[in-house]
Amino acid sequence: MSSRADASALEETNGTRPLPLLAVSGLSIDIAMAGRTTRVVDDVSFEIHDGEAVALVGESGSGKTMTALSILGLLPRGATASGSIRFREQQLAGLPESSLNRIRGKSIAIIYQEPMSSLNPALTVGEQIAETVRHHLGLGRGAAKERAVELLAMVGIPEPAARIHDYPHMFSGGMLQRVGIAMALSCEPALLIADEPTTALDATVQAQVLELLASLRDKSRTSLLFLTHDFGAVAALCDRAVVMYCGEVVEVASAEALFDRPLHPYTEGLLGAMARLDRNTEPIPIKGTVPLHADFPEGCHFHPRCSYVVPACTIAPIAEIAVASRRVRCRRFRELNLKGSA
Amino acid sequence: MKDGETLLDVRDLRVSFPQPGRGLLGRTRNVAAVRGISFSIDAGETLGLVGESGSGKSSTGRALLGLNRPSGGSICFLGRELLGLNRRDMGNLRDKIQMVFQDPYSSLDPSMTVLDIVAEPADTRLKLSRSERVAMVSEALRLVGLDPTLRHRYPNEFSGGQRQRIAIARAILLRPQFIVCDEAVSALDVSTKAHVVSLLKQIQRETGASYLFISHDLAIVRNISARIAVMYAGQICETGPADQVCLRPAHPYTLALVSAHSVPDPRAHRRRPRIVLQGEPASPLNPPAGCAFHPRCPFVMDICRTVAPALTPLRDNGMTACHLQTSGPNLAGNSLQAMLDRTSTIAVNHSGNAAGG
Repeated sequence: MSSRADASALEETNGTRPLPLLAVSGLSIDIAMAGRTTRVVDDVSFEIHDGEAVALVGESGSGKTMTALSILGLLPRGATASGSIRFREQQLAGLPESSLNRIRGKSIAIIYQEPMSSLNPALTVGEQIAETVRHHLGLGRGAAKERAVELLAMVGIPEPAARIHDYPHMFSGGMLQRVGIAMALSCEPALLIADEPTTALDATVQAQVLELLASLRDKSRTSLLFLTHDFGAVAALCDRAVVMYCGEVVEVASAEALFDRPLHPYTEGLLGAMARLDRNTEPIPIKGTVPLHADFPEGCHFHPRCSYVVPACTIAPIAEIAVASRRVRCRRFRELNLKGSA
Repeated sequence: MKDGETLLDVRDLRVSFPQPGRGLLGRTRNVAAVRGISFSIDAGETLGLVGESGSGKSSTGRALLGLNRPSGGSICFLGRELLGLNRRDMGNLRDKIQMVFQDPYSSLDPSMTVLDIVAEPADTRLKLSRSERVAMVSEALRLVGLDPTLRHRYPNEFSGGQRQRIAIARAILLRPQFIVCDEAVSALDVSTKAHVVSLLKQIQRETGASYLFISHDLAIVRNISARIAVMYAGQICETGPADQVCLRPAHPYTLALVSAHSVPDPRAHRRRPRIVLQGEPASPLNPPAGCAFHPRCPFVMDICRTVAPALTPLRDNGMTACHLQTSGPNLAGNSLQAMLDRTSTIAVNHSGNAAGG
């Protein structure tokens, strides 16, 4: 239980919280490429509780997708993870494929940004959903088919009994993402990982899918790990947010606290860079660009882009600091009064 | 040309594509992507064109550059009719009209250096000496905030945001008067998006170029545009000053777009009007009869199913094509909000369906 102790030392000292559903602790991921090893995820820790929706927020290259993939042991070839990934009582890190296969799609399911890429174009959607429930739940053909119809109806696909016979290409993008969600939910997973599930969709369809995910969270108490770069979606759906930059967690806070008053300059920068529909404020870009994996800056990785940088930021790595129920990786957070978006 | 003069005037533009029928004997059908739209853009002005996939916004942008052949209407640029121009005459307009595409990965030839990519519009038109060519490209690179010494590198050495800057440098090389930006920032990260938008605005201040800014992101469009036109199923359903369209939408589809846009503020999110539409955007293959939006409209009336509404002026600036303005509650030029405020007339319930009362 050492990982639990590590993680809770960073949380507020509140002994009454139940065991988290998922506790990622000290997760690091290295990628070996062209003879050298690069650390793309560094000492990442966070928890997800039952029925909680947690956002993993970051720009491309932040390490959020690698973090999520490592939970299910789905890292690409050449990537190695260390640290603890505890799901309920079970340590997932280091589990053999055969054991992971009993968890994948059953207790923890994942939906991807491009629904088309996660479905087999040569099988009808009904066959694909039935395959999952027959494999994990041991249902017979008839029962599996009924379950497929039930699931498509649940995610709001019209005429589900007819549509299970259709192939993926016969669905629109929004409908296909619903199929992906139906498939992910087929075994009633305790945790659903969603990797930018709305990014490829049209605005009104995005709103529909967010609404669907919110209703699933409320009705079935499915926990959600929602990967996104869109703080609007975080506000719409998530209870808590974990902000990542250059492979590190820079801030963890409840959604409301984060939008009211961010503690990390990167969070403030991201919020300020968003164009607002409800306000006539000028989006202000963060200066500079996200560095490549191979050359993460010394000290605080964000310091070359930070408006509040002091010499001390550029030398030693900054440790995460726990403040009440939040965490932040900035040595100046107490003196800075950063601007939120709420 | 002075700011405020009409640069581009589009009247009743129609674009359709032949869609091969199924099987050997299947009849070819026409897909009407753009079904008679009109708008104009002044010198130095940005018009935002908003809509979802299949709404016809990209087909409109491409028609302006002669990249597809409109089936009807008129495109008048600097007083000259572009429709019916042959390829060469259209090519001769390339120093005046340029385009920036969505994907900075596929729009740049990976085998060409930055210098050759950016110089391309000049190479086809001007006989430049080597040093003139380098000077011209360096100037364009500087304007988009890239180090001119990077001109010998290849696209794969740059990030997405830098590539989009290269694409913009190419577009502004000949100081065009008009640039079509087709989802030019959609593929970029939040902060890079803000960079490129402010760059486009700065270039506009410095060169006086006009933009047609095509995007599905209403917040970005509001930020960069003076006016916005909203497209649905190949037609403009609402047009007006940017703030008015976003804050006081007059068309139910615009209201749905506004309400679909989540803001980074959980409390504001919970307070927002919830018009979650049912169903999918209309298919251009088979647009619904009457008002194309009627199958998804929470305020649908009988007349909407049979009669297509015409664009009519609003009380403020702008126009909308919606029967609510003339029939039923008869909004008579007021925004939709005026109707929603009279909750006794129409109530929008939790699931977003409107109920008459």
